[in-house]
Amino acid sequence: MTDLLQLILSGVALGMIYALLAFGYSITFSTSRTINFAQGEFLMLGALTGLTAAVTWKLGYAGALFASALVGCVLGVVLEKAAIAPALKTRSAVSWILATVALGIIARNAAERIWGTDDVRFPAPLGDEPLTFLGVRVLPQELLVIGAAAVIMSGVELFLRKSIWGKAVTAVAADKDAAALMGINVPLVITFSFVLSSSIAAVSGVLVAPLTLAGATMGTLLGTKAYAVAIVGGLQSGLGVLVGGLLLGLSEQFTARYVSTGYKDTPGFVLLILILLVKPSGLFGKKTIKKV
Amino acid sequence: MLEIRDLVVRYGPLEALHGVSLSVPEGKLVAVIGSNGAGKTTMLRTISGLLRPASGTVSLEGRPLGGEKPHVIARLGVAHVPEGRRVFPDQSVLDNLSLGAFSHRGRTPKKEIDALLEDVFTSFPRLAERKTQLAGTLSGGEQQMLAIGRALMSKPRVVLLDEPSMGLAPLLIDEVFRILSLLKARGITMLLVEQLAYRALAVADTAYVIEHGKIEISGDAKTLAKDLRVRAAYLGEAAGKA
Amino acid sequence: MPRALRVLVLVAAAAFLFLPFVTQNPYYVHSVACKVCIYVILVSGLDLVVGYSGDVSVGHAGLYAAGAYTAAILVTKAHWPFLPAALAAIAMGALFGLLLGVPALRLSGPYLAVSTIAFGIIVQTVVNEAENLTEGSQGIQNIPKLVWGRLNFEGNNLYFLVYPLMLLSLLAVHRVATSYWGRAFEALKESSIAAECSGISRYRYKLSVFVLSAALAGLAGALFIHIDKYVGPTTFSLQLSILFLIALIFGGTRSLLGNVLGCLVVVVLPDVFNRFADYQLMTFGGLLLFTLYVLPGGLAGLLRRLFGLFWKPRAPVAKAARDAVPSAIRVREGEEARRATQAGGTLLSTERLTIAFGGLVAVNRLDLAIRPGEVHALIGPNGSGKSTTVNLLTGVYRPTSGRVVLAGRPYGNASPFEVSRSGVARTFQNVALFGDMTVLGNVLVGLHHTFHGGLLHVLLRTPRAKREERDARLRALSLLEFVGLAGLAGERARNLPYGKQRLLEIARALAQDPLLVVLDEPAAGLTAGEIAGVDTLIARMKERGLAVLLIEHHMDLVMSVSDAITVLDFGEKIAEGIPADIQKDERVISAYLGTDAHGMAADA
Repeated sequence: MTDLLQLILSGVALGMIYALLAFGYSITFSTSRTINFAQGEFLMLGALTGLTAAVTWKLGYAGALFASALVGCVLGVVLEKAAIAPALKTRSAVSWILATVALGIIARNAAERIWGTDDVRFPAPLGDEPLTFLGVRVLPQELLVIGAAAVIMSGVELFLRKSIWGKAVTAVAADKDAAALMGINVPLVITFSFVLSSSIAAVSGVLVAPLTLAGATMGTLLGTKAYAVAIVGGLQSGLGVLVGGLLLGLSEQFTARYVSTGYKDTPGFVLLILILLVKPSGLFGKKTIKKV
Repeated sequence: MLEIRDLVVRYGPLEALHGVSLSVPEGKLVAVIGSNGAGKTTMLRTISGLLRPASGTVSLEGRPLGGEKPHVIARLGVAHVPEGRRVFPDQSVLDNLSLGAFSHRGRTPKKEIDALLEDVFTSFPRLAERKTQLAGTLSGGEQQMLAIGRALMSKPRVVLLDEPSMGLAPLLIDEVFRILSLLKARGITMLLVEQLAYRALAVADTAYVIEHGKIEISGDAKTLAKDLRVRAAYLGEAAGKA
Repeated sequence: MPRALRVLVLVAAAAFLFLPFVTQNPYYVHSVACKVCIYVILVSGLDLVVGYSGDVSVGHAGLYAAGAYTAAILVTKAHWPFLPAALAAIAMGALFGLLLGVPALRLSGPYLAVSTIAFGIIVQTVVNEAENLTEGSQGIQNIPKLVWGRLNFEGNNLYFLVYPLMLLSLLAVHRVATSYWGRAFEALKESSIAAECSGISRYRYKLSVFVLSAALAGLAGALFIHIDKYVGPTTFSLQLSILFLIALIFGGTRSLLGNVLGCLVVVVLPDVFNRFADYQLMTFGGLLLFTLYVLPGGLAGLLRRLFGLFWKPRAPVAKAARDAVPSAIRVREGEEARRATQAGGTLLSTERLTIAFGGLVAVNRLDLAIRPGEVHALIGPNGSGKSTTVNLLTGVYRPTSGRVVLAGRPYGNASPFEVSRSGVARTFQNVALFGDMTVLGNVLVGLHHTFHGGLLHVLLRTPRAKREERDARLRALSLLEFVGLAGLAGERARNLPYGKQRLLEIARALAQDPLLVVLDEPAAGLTAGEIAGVDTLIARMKERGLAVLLIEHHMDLVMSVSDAITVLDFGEKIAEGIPADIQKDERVISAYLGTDAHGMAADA
């Protein structure tokens, strides 16, 4: 029983990270019908910037979170201006996919040059001593990840639903022309959605790094699994990515425990293929109707 | 209030408007009538900046709008109720209305916005009943009222209405035109594009008939209503002579 | 391609076969040339997906791995000879392509890119984990020598195997791209809805081309194991998939020369600038971004433009096939037509057809009956549900309730291409042509259903494939003659004046040998003279026994050509009858003009 609880807790912590990244995809997908194939790399850059802020500049964990959010904002603007905006003009899906892929490998190479190719330990702010509840041992960082991810996601959802700017983002996602007629600066809102999505990714890096290690290669796999999560949940659904993330986090933990640790990266792919076969619009996705 | 001079608009190889001029005086309701494909929607989309004119000018109270982005034009006080209503389907009626006031957010005290909202709910009691309902679940007539209400929330200098009767049952069309005369009585400046010629002419002060991207006839609405050429443009020559 | 250029290409291709006699340096021949050839095989296949079909695969390294490991395992553990092992590798590539494509290509969007990335990672995991088959991280060594009797393909001699295979792959891709398959891809890329409504199944074609591409990746994998006589998991990384894409984009998509140049660059560049090894990904990433936004078309595109300064391609002059005109329109005989008459003289009918979007009922319990050979007009004010009805009739929308029956047989959930196949062709209110294709090409897309030779016929360019193509071209020309566009056959569709674009859409619809043609506002935006032309055209279609459903706002046209008129308002039928009655119908007049216009007119 404690064994099971243990698995569930680690699965939830991991799932929250996937959900955060996928949440970022869903934001940009709804405003621009694109997703950022460098999102995992942005997570990695956030983690490494955070590491420098926390360790080298001695700004502490809060400083790391702040620095990574800042880097995320800059990356979001660069991404939108360099890769997305030109592709939206030519209306070519091939262009934006390839352009964000290109940014991803550039980011990864840059990180290798700046921080080296080795994986480094990221000091956990609440220590590495596991806490014990009812016989379940849990790392304080896991609790921090779950809490922080829940706060970020509900914060953003609240912002989208309650604030006038958030409503403007939702309006742009639904109908760009009608949004412009309301006096909403549509291109600015699209850029903003990328800033939001990229800083969420960068902050997730600082959250996850103490559980894994920080290094130039840490993002690719996380980013890829998060695509699967986004599609499984339904690309435009906030609730969907949360459920998808938890589903994947848990199934990975269970695979690692009951099948083999070597195959722990496979459930994401299996879930992805299954959902595409059964309900391609995702668990919580809605079918869209194209006007002719 | 709103002046259009020699407007030419092209869609790729198709020239949709060939030199259209018209003016909307303050406090008046001007109707533009004409059959489908005549260029009415194109004209409104060009005024609000969604399309760029190839040549010609649009000006609001003497200020040229040519080349401005749509959100800037909206902030200057041009409210456009688009063809097909285009409410935000996944947001509530209240959210749709708050977005209507987006263009002057920050400049208007909350009290005033609440007053605007109260005003809209008084004009459209159906919307007040359905405040929290998602706009996409409203019926066609309710969506049209929401679209008009949303435009009124922006404290507009001029309201552009693109076929508010489109796709509505006769009873609801009556309701829409009742609302238009109500707004007119309140002194709101309006440019109405409509295919229901006689309904539009009945509420308008002046009117223009547009055919094939050109203004064919213009003049006092009451006079035009008696002009048989208007009928000819719709039901073919045969009906005109009937 | 002009004859001189074709000869030049063939001579150059033949000359390169002798590379190993020019230099014996194993670096140039074995390490560079052989690797380039293998990459080209894969990249030319990737071009089918990215360049022609317009999707992105970021997992071709995984398919490459599937081929490589299949071949390596079979030659080392089962001691199969090269050839069957290579065929098995091709089959394995194709199988994985199928398994991946079936789910991932169902929707358009970034789904294929995401699934292929994930697939690439899973392949690496499996290769690492399934140690008893793949030797895990150690990799498979001791790949046996590649010797067939007295033919030895070891060392530099491997080139004599991979180079001809590369040429064959390029030829295969070229043939697919220039056949009706290529046209189908291009049409799907430009407007998938118009292509579907012309009888092309988006899913089937995208899937087939992905499987073909995966098969080529499998072949490349089977050859790859003979370069180093070793295969290990680290080769097949995500970076390799991206490298293939860079080779493709930088070289230039949809160009055989571009495929070769791109592969040459990605193989040679890291060796030449090995001091920059640390910045390799950055360089390649930068190259990719640069190509996408500054040099679209890549190196091949650049060369083509330079070349174009000296040599202007002439549009093929199409000869008018005047004597072929009578055959332009074929009215289906046999099964469907018989069923149509048996069904009580109704060709197409709708039964309480209803569709709602959210709270909006766009079409409400519509009953419509179109008889064979009649021109039936559907009119009504804007927003009355006419276009929605067209979309319901052509399978673009699924009804909320009610059904459509064609020749006695209900549609069920037919998709647009199935509807086209069963005999309903359409045009679009907002012209949906394939703008980059020629006028002739657009009609040929409509004639897609006349091609029955499968992929094998295309690859081998059999007499049947040639005959079908020739017949289709003749037929397309006579259709163009019928609508009066024969002189413009070689022009790009987007360059046509608007009125002629509408005529071209009609020709494309007629090419589908329909029982019923749905014309969605064919006169919108046309001048009076052009409208008269449409009038005659509809009359001639009727003369030849075609049924026409006409959605139109120009009443002169409607009144002059229609046998029957149905009037819609707010999604419901408000009147039906012959033109003279409709013109006098009070409800119709009021729906159009807003009030009792009769009374007002009487005042005047």
